[in-house]
Amino acid sequence: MLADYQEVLVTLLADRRARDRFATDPAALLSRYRLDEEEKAALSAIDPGALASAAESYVAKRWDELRRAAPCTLRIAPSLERRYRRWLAEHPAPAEDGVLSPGLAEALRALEPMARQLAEDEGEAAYAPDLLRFEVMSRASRADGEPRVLRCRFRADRLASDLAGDGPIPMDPPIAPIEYRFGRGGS
Amino acid sequence: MSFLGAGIGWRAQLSGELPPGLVLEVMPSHFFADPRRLDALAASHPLVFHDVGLSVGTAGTPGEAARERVRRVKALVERAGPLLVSDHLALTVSPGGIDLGHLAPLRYGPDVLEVVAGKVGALQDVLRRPIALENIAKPMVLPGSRWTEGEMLSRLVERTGCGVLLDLTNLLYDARNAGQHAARVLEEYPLEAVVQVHLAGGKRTGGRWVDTHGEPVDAESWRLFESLRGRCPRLITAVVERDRNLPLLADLVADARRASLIWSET
Repeated sequence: MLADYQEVLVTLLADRRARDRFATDPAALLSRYRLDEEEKAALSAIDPGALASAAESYVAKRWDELRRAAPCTLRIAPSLERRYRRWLAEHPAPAEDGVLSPGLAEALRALEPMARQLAEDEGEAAYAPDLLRFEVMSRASRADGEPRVLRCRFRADRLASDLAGDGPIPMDPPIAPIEYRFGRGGS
Repeated sequence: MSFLGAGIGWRAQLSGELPPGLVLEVMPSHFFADPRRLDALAASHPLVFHDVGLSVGTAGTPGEAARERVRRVKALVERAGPLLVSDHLALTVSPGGIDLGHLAPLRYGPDVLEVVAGKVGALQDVLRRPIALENIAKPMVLPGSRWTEGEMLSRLVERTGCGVLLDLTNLLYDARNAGQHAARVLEEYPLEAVVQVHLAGGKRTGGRWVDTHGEPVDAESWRLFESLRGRCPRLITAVVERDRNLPLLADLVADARRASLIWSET
């Protein structure tokens, strides 16, 4: 059945765990779907290297869009790319309605998992999670006008301003709890 | 409608004054959040809409997200009156709702023809105009197609009256990656239905040619475009695509002028 064929194909392109299972035992994965013999043969004939390469191209395109939502955070946490790629491989995006660009929509979807990872890693700057949330949420609200509230331990707006140019990276900013309100009437 | 001149893909990052009359290709999704931003462009330039997310290749009944996207695109079409509306012969969303975020190839055959023809027909009814479908740059070859992409497009044109957005660089790179001669592959496409052309650049990465849209237009793409002279009676515009490593606006405009000159020698 065509719908199931397409479901398998997209799953293989979007989900690394599914690709790994398919590489080990393709028949087991395909048996979960309603496929005719022609469809099974076509899926089984996909070159694993080509599949992996194609999957990587989709990840690369998503990252390319998403990274523009957090350029300052990327300066102080270049590990964000590795974290996002690993997370995306196991969390394919669901189709959702929205007015945000694909990059911003994906940045919002990945925001809390990425912020948590940065917070849990002592090797990352203490203010990295705040900065990430500030960048993504402020951009999202500027784009869609939706109100969003963010409570930070650090002055993320000043950190973003410092990092926006090529100036020195703040090493030990003071803790200064603040609440930001984005969107219509916010700042 | 006759050829109106070539254009460029509009990007907010491009700075400088756009020459009057330059065709601009815009992605409708860039204006979903604030449609008013489209008004100034529509007032001063001929526009063509080029979407990426209509996923005409997805089998099954469209979900709410897909239906809402069509409503948003329709609203923008009615607001801005673009000359053309196009998307891709591809899918971005699985029937079960996984969003790849970008274009996945289709396995060309009768079952896919029914799906795409149905989706295209429905879209054309909603938008009240023909749409055009673009040939994509395929990240991989899908085993089991009964037809070539050109044959698939020919059948779709016949079934639905849709147009073709012929991306010459996508065709070129697919041919190179398959070890085929691009000029020969071009002959399989329904050139009489081509209403728009894309010209772009890319590079060879990991053993494959990739349309990065980050390089100048490939020289062979220019030659393929020249070979179309006199063979695409419905061509309205040719758009130079550049998404990254943006050059000066003047350089993109120069490429558009080059395309216009080539076509004017038809």
